[in-house]
Amino acid sequence: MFKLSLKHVWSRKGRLILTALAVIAGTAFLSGVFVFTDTIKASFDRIFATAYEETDAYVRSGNVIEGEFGNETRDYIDVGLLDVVAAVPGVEEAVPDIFTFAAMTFDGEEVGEGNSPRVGSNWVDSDRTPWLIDDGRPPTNGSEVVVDRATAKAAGMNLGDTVSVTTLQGTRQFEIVGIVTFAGADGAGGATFALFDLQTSLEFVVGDTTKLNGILVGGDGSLSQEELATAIEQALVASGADESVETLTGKEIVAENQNSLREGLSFLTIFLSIFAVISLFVGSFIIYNVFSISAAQRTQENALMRAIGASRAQVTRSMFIEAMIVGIGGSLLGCVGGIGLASGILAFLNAAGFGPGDTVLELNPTGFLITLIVGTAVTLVCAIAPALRSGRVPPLAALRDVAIDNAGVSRRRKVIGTITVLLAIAAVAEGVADRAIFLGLGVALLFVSLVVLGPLVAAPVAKVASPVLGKLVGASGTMAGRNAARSPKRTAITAGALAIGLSLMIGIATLGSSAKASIREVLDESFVGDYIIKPNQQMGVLSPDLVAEVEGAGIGDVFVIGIAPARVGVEDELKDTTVITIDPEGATRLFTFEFTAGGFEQLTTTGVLLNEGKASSLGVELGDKVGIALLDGTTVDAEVQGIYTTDGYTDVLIHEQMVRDPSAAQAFDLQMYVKVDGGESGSASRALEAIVEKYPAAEVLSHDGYIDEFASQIDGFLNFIYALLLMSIFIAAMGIVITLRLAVWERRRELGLLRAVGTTRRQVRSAVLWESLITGVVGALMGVVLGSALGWIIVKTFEDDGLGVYSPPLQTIAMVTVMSVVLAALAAFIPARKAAKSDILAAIATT
Amino acid sequence: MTNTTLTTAAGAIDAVKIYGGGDNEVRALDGVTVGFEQGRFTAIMGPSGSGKSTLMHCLAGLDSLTAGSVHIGSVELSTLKDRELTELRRTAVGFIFQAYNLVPTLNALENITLPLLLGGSKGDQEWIDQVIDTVGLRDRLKHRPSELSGGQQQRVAVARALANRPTIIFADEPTGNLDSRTGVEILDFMRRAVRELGQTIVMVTHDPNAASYADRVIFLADGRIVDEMSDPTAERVLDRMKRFGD
Repeated sequence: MFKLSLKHVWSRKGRLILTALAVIAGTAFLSGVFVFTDTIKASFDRIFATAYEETDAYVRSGNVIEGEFGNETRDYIDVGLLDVVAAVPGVEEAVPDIFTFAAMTFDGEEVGEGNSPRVGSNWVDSDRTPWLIDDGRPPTNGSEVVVDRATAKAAGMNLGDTVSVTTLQGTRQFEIVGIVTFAGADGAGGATFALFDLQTSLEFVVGDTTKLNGILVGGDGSLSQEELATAIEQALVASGADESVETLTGKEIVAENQNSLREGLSFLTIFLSIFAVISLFVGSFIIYNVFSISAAQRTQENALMRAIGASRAQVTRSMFIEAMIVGIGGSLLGCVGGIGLASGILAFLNAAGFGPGDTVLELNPTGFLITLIVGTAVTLVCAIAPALRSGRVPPLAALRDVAIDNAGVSRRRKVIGTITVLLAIAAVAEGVADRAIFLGLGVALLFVSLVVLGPLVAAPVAKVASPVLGKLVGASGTMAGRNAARSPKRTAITAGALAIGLSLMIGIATLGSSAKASIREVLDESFVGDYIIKPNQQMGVLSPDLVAEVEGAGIGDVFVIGIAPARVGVEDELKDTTVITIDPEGATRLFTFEFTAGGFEQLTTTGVLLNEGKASSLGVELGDKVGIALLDGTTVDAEVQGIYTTDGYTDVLIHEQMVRDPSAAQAFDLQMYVKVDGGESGSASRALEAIVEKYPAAEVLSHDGYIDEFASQIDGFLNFIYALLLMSIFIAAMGIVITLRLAVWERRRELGLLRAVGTTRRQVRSAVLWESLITGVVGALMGVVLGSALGWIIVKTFEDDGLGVYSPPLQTIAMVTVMSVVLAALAAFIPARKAAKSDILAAIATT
Repeated sequence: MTNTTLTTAAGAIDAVKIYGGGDNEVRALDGVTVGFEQGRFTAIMGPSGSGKSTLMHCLAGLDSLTAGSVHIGSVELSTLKDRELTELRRTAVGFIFQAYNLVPTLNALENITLPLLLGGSKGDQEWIDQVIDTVGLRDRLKHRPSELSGGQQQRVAVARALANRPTIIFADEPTGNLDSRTGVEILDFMRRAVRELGQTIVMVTHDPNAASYADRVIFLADGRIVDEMSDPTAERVLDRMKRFGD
């Protein structure tokens, strides 16, 4: 039987290729994700290992706060510890390590891409640091800087050029005297690095000559890394250093860096894998369809096999073996395709300056194995129903030529479909009230009902299309409608594959447009001023010089909010978070928060304002105490002096003067709000522009401009997701090609007959085209309904997280619908040409 | 041999059809000249491989000649492009095949009027009614082919061939898949179409009984016309056929 299956697979090369294509497309994405992330991981692992090759121990503060956005802020250590560490026997060298925010602007432009880190550091002439001078010389005084080669290349910087650097202390000009590499690589993963001499980096980057981020320690070889770390720890304790100071071995610091990168990457892997799974899911529709069609086309052959004595199981098994061969072969080719996909993305990233540089692709067998198993399993699962159906073919099956399959509009299907939808609605209704399991179940059920109800959508659409198209385009329109109605199940599955991609696009677009509408509402409700000055970067820093200059210019009423990492909680259970620091007087004038109790006026340096949700989760009310700890050592038992319902800001607001030492607390100015007499005007805009122009890392935006900018950020994110979803749309389009191609093959006799009795090639082409368009319309219909449901669910789920407004993007929905129909038309091109070329004589030859 | 005059519905002159080349060369038609008069029912007979199907395909514009010419009405087929040939088949030719005659997605009425639908015309309603009544399908018009018996399907095919009043109808073993009683029914319809409706039919068959319904039988062997017979009976045709075996 196996031999027979093999023979069968081989004898139908065309169909084999089409089936395999669906598997290949489904698995290539998955394999590509593995190759891509494995390669990135491996290359950064190497970079970190090289970077800390000469580091045997690392000393730093263990006091670290994880902010609300996943950003870690670690406390500084005392610069005096350098001498303590250097004096430990076995230590050859103790090197100060500084890395704190420092953004460069060059030639009137901000340096660096997007939200990648901007780092200021200290140059040390030592093997212990990863930095090597590539060109020029080290910085020797307070007006010189060296930059990493990737940044210099991207910004077009040369030795001798002047660069402007902004830190928490202000903005200064430096001359570039050197270009450095990071452990031999151009740069460190997209971050920009500005390296100063030690004194300058202490004063200007850290803002406190007594503080360091850490100490890199090199041993003299007499002790192992572990022994050295222990010796240092003992010396630190003996010196009376702060308890929070910790010592890591060189291996540990490498592993920590590698792990934190891995963590970031695993998020990326999961994120990308989701889209790979979506692609495979869409692909499975196609695989199922191909096997179904293939089984239908083999009805006669299977009947013959049964007649000459093959058992039911043998026929079924032969189908399974074929599926196995196609699954394994397709997945293997998918792996190859994944390698191509990954190298393409890496080349693109490298060209854009985000990549790890020239690297060898990391071909991890695990990724390929997973791809192979998943691809083969999906193919086999898709083959189950068709294989069982083949087995059920009776030996004396009527040797009909083309079966009309009316399955798919049965009563049972209607009942099951209705139940599924009701269950889905019930689960979703239960789930949006904060129950993720029900929500997931509901969404899954929605997709199931797409599969179940699909034929019930396809059948009436095709039935209506037949007379309508008949009127509009004549006989070919009538036939297109009839062909689409021929097997509503097949049409529905092809359309369903398209609908999945479309519905996700619509769902995501709804999320985007609702987020935009929500931020508009929040801003309109909470801010009465006219302008906002903010850093270009999402988590960027406003230069204190800029703030001072705007405040001094007297253009209007100015109000600054700052941000600080903090621990907040009750009864000594403080949790890491991020707080906003305000000047209550300014807030009273420019902010119109909705308070259920208290208000801005009440806020003192020992008080706190809380968002309603936060207050209830902490279980506090007006007048209760909340513990707040900052990195500068401030600990306050703060009184709750106001509770607000306005969303879109952080949950905790404190008085700016609660922060005693902003540089130690690593607090900084986040945004400036300006209110001008008489509102927004040309002269006010020009006056503000004139100041902000000098600080390219910041921008001044009008009320509407702020919303537009927010919208464009969302659009950037949406475009990224659309690009990932494009793969599944592409697979769905390929599904249309494959299904129609097989249908044309299946109907070759009929097409020959049609040609014989006077159907022109053009009419044959047009019939296939219209059939595809009907499929596209069915797909669009299902996609729009499902997508609208998904969009609504997403928005409702995050209603309390700043998505207060549900705003379906009608334009996108219309565009997506048109796109699916256009795609269907394009997909019909090849099958339509093939159909028009049907051989009349071969079709009517009596056999 | 019959002269190809204005009264012929279709005909071939020195028709040659060669398949393959070199040693594999097959002369399916080897200089056939024949004419089919209007309003007559002609049968083409011959043993397997005699070229009878090839002759029909070439006469109907489904296949092209290697040399010689064929015409339908006054139109010379070799000068026509695919588009024009298609239109000719739609307007001037009717077909009845042995099997796979009908489009499975269309009902009986739609199959009958298919050539008219394709041309975008309503056709002559009175004529179509007459055809439908002649083949006795009035109560089966809304049925799909899969819901019709083999004989009913062939009657639909006959009706379709007649629907646009073609210059000539070609039938390729129209009763080959039917039992003898149903076959007789179909042949009877075809004869009535010629006698009562004035149609012209050319039928390829190897069944002497079927041939006996024709007004005239042409015998083909090895791509040539070897004999012809007027007002045939089954016995005479069978006798003639037996001689091919010698």
